[in-house]
Amino acid sequence: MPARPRGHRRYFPPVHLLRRPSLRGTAVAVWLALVAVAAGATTLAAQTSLRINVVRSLAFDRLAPGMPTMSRGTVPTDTGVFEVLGPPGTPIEVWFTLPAAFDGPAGATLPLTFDPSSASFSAAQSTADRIPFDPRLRHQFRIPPSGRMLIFLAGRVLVGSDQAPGQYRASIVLFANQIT
Amino acid sequence: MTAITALLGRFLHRYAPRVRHAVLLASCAPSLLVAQGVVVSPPTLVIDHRVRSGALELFNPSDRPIEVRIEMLFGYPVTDSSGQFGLETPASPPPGMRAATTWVEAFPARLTIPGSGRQTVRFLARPPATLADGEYFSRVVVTSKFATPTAAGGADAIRTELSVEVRAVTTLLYRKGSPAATIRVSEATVTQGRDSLDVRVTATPGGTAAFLGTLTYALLNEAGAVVASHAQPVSIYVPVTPRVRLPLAGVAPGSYRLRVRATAERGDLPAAVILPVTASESITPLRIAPR
Repeated sequence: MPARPRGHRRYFPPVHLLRRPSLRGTAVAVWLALVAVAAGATTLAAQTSLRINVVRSLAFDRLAPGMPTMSRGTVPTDTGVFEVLGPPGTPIEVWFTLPAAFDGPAGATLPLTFDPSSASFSAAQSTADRIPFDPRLRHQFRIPPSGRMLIFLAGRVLVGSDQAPGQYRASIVLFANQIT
Repeated sequence: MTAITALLGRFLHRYAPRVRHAVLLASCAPSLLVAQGVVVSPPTLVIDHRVRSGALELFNPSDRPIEVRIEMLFGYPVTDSSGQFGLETPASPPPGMRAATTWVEAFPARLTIPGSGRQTVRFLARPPATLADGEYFSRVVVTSKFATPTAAGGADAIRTELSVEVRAVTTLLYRKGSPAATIRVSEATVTQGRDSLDVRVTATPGGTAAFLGTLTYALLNEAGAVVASHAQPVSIYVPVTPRVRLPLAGVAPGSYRLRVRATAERGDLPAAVILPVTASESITPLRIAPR
């Protein structure tokens, strides 16, 4: 075996220089396994317990006095999107505490309403298979085989003709209970 | 095939570090999230009476700090009139319920977890001196609060700011002595629909612990073969009457038996959480009518 040159830091020969085909195959398999482990590590960590991410918050832009404005599922930029991650098959219960209005300057309020079709969910992580549900009620789901599902929430803001300008604040609470 | 293997080998040998980094970066990317919730582990915390303390680890996967609040909540799963499970959260535990809510505390109860940081929350139990052997429970509510950006606009504009709180509800079980659970499954009530069977059974827990397991519904033909089935993970603290739908696609009219079996198995929970229970089952003869 030739002497290893000084400063040589390669711990194993390149895969294409391995003479025995079985060794080549093993080396490739090891590399692929490493890549697969690296890719799966984060997903696995996320799936050991329930986790909720806010992908997009409900947004009401471009409001002006006297302008009744809607935020529907058909306006994607205005729809809130929540991502639920968990072990596949886990039964979960999801419910919201929804505000009736935004609180504004000098006691002004901005009514905010939700109806029975204001929310929907997708087990296939797409907008094509969304199943509507009433966000004012509790709902039970099963985490799909992918370990990920999306919940969409839209609302409606009614702006008065003499609505005071300024900053309006409200808060939404999303509960997610892993049923154990 | 050999040429492809050699090509792949050359590529991986040359670019392996870059590939690894790219895959790691891609898998860790926040994918345009407004906010990421904390990861709570383990999903079910079990505290032994001999130790009287336990810990949850919270991990903030985002690059921003998250304010977190920990609260104890009394609650247990029940079924409603439609057979759906939900968390019942009475203001005070009904008599006979083994609640741990009032004597378990979290430290710290409020904290800020830095981006990519971890924080351990310890739970200290101070049970009454006269506490009987058995399993006691509480819910742990982990609240993460996110502020969302204010909508843009001038001084005469109406600007809205909607903050979002995410409350993840997990379970704390406190076990003293050797708690034991039992389960009894009643005969099923079956209603045939156009394309499915509507099945309801009453599952009644017993013993000194909740039943954590799975209800398995199997429709057996006359030869004993399973022609339709459904598995339902359950946690049973009080008698419940869940409802499931068994699809009848490909099931011919005729005589069948419906077997409902309760077993102490849950794929989504660590084995240490599950107490061994003698399986219970019921068999209900039924007839599938032509559709």
